[in-house]
Amino acid sequence: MNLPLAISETATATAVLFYALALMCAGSAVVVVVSRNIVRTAVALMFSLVGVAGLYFLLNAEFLAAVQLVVYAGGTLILMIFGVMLTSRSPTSRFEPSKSEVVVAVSIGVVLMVSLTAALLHWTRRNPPQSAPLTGEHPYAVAELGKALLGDYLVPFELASVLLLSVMIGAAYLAKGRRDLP
Amino acid sequence: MTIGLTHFLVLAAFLFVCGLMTILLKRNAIGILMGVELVLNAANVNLVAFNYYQHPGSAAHPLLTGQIFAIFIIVLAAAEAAVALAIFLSFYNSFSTIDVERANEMREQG
Amino acid sequence: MPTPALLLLIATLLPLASFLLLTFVGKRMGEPLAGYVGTFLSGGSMVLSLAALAMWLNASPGADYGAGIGPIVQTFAWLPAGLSATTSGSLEVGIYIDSLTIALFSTITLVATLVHFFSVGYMADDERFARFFTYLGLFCFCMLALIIAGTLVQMFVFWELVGLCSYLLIGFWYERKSASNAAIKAFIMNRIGDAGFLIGFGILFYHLGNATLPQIWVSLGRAGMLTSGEGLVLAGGTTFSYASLTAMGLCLFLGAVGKSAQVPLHTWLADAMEGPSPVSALIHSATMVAAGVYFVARLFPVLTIDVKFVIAIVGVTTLTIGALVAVVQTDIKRVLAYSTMSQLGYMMLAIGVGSWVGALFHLVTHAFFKSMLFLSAGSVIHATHHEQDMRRLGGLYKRLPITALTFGVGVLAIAGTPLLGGYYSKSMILTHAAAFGLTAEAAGRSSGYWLLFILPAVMAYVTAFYMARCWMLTFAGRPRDQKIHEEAEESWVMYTPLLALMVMTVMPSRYIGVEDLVTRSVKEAQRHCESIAGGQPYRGFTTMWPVTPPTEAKSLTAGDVNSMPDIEPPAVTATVGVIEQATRIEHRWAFWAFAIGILLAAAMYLRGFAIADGLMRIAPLRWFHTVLLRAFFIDELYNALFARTTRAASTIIGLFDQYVVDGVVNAVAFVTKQLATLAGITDRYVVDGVVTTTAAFAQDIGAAVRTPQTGRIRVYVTALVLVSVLAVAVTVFVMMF
Repeated sequence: MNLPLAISETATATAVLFYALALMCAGSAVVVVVSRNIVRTAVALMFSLVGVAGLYFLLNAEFLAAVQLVVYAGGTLILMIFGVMLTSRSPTSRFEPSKSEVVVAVSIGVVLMVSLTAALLHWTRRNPPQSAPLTGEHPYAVAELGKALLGDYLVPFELASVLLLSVMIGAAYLAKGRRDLP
Repeated sequence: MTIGLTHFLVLAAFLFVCGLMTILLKRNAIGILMGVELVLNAANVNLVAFNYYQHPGSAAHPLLTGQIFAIFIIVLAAAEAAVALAIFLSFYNSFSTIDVERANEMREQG
Repeated sequence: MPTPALLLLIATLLPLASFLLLTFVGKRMGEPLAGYVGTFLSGGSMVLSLAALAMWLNASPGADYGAGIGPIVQTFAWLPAGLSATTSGSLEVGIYIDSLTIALFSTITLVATLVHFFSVGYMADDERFARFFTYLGLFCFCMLALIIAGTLVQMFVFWELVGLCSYLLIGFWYERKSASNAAIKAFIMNRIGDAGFLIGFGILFYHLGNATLPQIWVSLGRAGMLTSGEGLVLAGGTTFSYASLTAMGLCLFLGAVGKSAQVPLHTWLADAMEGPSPVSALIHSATMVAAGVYFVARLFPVLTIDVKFVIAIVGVTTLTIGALVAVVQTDIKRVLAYSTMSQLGYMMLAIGVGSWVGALFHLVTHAFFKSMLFLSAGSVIHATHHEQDMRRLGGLYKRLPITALTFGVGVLAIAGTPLLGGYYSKSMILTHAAAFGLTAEAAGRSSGYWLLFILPAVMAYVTAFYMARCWMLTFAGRPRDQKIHEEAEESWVMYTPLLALMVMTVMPSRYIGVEDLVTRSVKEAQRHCESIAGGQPYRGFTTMWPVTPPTEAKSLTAGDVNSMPDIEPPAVTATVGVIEQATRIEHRWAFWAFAIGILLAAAMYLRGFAIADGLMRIAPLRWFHTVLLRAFFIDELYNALFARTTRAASTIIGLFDQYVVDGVVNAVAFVTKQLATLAGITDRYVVDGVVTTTAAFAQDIGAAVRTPQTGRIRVYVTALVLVSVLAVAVTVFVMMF
């Protein structure tokens, strides 16, 4: 059912890389779930995001991997840590969920994971992949991406820029703080 | 052993479930936001993997739809995080906490 | 990019720079500085426009652009999107520059600079001083961008933006209820027109896509020669029927009707005088309201005969109503507003009868003298501490000599005194209207067509009369209010721009060459269209009616005097005969209009309102006076038609609610009450026990249901996720087994 990522000699290396990165993602994601310390959660999330960036590299999406690192790990996460620092008198403050909540959440998680995996395996058995992934070199993948963004996807691109502008204004307005509050 | 689409999908499903559980379990608003980010990342992994394995296009004209979508999702996630954090700050300024359990001013009284 | 185009683009962007600069630091700059910054940037724009004008006039014959040689047409791909059946590729924006563009640029920037400078004095001590110049900067940018636009999309965008600026500036003193109402009125009236614009634009877009102006002219150039039932075959093979061409022209014209305050949508202009006087001078006389005329002129080749006929009728109606109403107004600015409306009517009429050059020539001369009149009025108003009512003014020539002089020159110019700018343009329009009447007569049409000459000619007398009346009541005679009279003073900031505008009015426009520029603009457009169309002679700007096209002998009429003298149309001799005849008619009937009108007004108002009040005692005249004073009750009519009907409908619905619905409800309630009393007795003794039990049960259910409504987000989320996950799980397992 599987097709080679690249040339066959490096397949093993790719597999090793994949498993390492997958372990990193999944392990950090578990830490994100169980950690009670919000700063630790943020650090774990960062590892998870970096792992996803590595997966993008494996999928030949170098530009996306770079964006993931710069915007997510570098920008969004730092923003969140700032949020943590600004909103918490002691950054290690905890709010524990109750036992019943943990039971409910874990059972939801298990059911969802099992059903998703089952569905996936079922689906791949029925529909083996049709087309082969592109192998070999893509020297100008980023150039193609740029062309697509400024060509076919120009209108969404412009809309996204308008959205970012309005978010900037809106966030500044919201976070300004009203001094007349008690 | 070769790595196929299924591997990525299973991993993404796992990330998704972790994100969902984070949303359910955290009482810290920022923690919930982190869960949302995990969920979005899981979706991104799916998009890029499908792009790579199912619709790669030809060598001359590679198809990049999945990657483009992923880029837009990253942009939207950043925007969403900014607005959400602004709301949390505003909330914190009013209530001196960001425990979402305390955000119940609009419930029925009594 | 050719240098003149570059200069004009920078001239367009300078007011934008002024807008941005003043938006961010205007308040910090404070009172005089913000005004001087705006004036300086606007002045820079003027210098660049005049430089472009000089380069344009001195273009070497070998160049591919220049006065009488050809326009500058440049397009830039903007958004890559295939937008219609006939065009593909990208949405384009562009510039179109010919002599007309440059002439209007020079006019607008000149007037705008003087208005900026004037406003520094006029708006002194206003609390929103800097914001005023911010808006002025935005307006100038939009107006210039509208003039330079090369495609209809751009025109529409900036068309709306000048409307926005107009709204902001009319309502500048929004604390006054009347000002904010006037702003809203202007905005809504313009919206009605703009809806027409949008529909017409849609029809055009459907057939041609986002074409540039020359492309539109070439594709639809024969529209003016069609008779009904024919259609134009476009390049793609599709047919543009006469009916849809006419509908398109009428819809686009409706946009101009709103913007230029033509008859059905004219009521906003008089109310717009609530804005500060410099705004009236810049926007509501010289530039924005004239944009409608400019727009129709740019679309002239695609207008069908029927559309031109409608335009002529609307123009004549507007100029008549405007002139008559202006005779009785007592508010100095309202007189000028109705006079503006009337003059815009002359321009529209000129376009309708095919006098393209006349319309635009008059547009430019009118811009100078009318902005001078408005600024003079502003000077009077400022000097008298916001007294606009002529019944309380009078005798001001001693206190405000320079203002009296400039206003007087403006009166002479608008009355059509020879050697002043207004004379040439007005007589050109009247001559062409007369020629139009002659050709209609020769073609055997009804003599009703002569009305298109007679009414404007009569109104020329009326124009001279009401403008002279305005001057007499304001400046001559004895002061009617001593206190106002003694406090009045003028200052140099105010009268320097007035003197500059006076020079522009006094210098006969024939020798400045406005007419020449406008005429050359036609030639440039024709040359360009011919080069696109591969050398076929292009007649779009010179086609005329009511002569039936397309045979060449008949299609050459009054319009041909507009066109180039060096390309001789075959049957031009006959046309010249018509024009000579028309000139004689015009001279015989309208030449002395200025003198007669002015002398009559001088005689009548020499002693203030004495004679006028005497005439008012005659009953029919008094009634007529009331009708005119209320502007033919058109506002009242609209109020009755639209506002009242809406209100009446809601009243009726309210009554229905009150009597029918409430009645039914009350009746039901009454019956219920009686039944309840009856039942209550039973209840109290029999059912009570059962009810109490049930109620307790219901309360328990309520409490149980209420418990999860905790306001706790996480509980909600958990419930949501739980249900969705169960749904997913069930689906998956059903699917698998």
